Amino acid sequence: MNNEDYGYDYDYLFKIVLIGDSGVGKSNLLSRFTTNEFNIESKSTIGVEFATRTIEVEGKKIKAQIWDTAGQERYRAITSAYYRGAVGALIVYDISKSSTYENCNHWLTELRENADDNVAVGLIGNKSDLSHLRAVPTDEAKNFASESQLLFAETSALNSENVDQAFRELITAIYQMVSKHQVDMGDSNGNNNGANAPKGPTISLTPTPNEKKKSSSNNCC
Amino acid sequence: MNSLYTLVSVPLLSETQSQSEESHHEHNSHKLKTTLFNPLKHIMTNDKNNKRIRKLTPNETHSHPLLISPDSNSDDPSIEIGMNINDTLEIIDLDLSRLIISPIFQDPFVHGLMRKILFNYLLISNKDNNADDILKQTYYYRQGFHEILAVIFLQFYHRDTTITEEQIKFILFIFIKLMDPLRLTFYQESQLLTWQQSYFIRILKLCDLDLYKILYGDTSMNNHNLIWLIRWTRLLFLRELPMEDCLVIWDHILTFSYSMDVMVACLVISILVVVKKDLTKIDKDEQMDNDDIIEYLLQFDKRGSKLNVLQVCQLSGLLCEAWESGHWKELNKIVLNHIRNNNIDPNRKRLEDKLRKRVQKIIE
Repeated sequence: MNNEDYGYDYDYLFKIVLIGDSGVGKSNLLSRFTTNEFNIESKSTIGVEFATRTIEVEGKKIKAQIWDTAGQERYRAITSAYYRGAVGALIVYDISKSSTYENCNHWLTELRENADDNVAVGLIGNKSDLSHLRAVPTDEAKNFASESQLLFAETSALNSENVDQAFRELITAIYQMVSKHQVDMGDSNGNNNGANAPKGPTISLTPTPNEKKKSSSNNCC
Repeated sequence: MNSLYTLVSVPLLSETQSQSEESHHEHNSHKLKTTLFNPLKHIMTNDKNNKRIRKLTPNETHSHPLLISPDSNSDDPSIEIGMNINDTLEIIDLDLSRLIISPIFQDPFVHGLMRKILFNYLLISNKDNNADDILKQTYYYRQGFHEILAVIFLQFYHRDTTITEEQIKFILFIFIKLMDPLRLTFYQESQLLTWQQSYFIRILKLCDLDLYKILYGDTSMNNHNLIWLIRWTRLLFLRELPMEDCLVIWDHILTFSYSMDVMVACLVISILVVVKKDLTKIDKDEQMDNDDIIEYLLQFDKRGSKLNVLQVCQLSGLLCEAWESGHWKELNKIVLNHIRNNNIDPNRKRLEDKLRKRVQKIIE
């Protein structure tokens, strides 16, 4: 994991938000992915937590800036700030607690209302280590994800199962969407019919570091 | 002590303990006998013989109609969202099982006491609620209450002695005294927004224009600072500073010489003044932006910056004094003085500290 930490040296910065009910393991997914840590006794998230990790996707260095919010809260006035600029989201539920899965619909609605239309979304069934207590069938969640056009994975932050893959899959999907968008934008100067071009507003990617305050130089390698 | 509240026991709602709850507690390494009734579990149990895949959207409603009045606009931040007793106790149990500030909170007996105090606090703060039946009331528990209570509880808890009913009542009394103004300002989103506009931004601007520009230079991003301010204010710095420092700060707050609104705003500003160099560095770094400032402030505890908490309290006291007495022009002078006094030559500071210690020894 360390050899992938490029600090400020990155090509893209993706903001990803973690949402879902309280106690489903969002904070541990975050710590597992960003620092490879799991706290069996993790504190309740108050407000928002934040961590980053840089990974390489298709030869590009992508810094994932992951925001983790308290499950109990619906920050109605602050929601726009939380979702602003997010290009990816993971809706997390606990496979052993059906109510957390039922609520995914609400989270998806809130996300659709507040985030960019093009935001890439993944549905994560966490705590897969508790399969003996499973309350949400994998197939049902998979179907729901497929119907709603969400990526899907079952993960265990506890034993690290699938966590890295789930985040990577989402980041890769975002990257592909972005590259495609850039290609489409390039083509649209020519004769692109735009059939597959993303609908709605352009994905708002935070510029690469050197573009942030001065767009004079290019950080891309 | 006699005037303290009479404690009400937490009602036993059902002997059923759902599998999901068991699994939850298993995950939190805390096996507690919860006695919650989970309507979802109930529905699923009844549906056990039905082998078909359960639909995501069930026929029964799973949101609580009393959560928000049907006529109300759920997007209105001035509406405090409440929960029924089942959900309230469930989230309290979840939060208490994740209290890691001391191992004593893993003790089921302590867990039970904490649960009882929190429930009684919610009942007392529901005094305007018309529903007499505690099972039918709407409760306004928020994550964070439990951590504030835990710190107060720890001050009274001694492993070798049994905690008495009177002590529990006294803990509840202190908790109410601290929570009432805290909850009113920082746990209601609309109030938090008002506090930011009416106190925090105004005092910050008068204290230190540079800091104001760093945090609020881009006016379209005003609410972005609430992302870190939520935790700073709701937990009164518990996640940002060591507990011993928080206790010093809480001591100052509990004296209530100044209103909670002003005191907390001045405390936050005082801490920002202390780390102004860091914030300025981030602001000037062309590779960083507002998110990096938020990241810095959200991960304040990881910076390892040793704050002199007494100096922070002293500075915030002076700021409160100047603000409340209407000497607004003084605010900037106080901050500048503080910065100047703390930017003295380290050798001189070391000498001064040495002398101070020597004098203290002589006095003792």
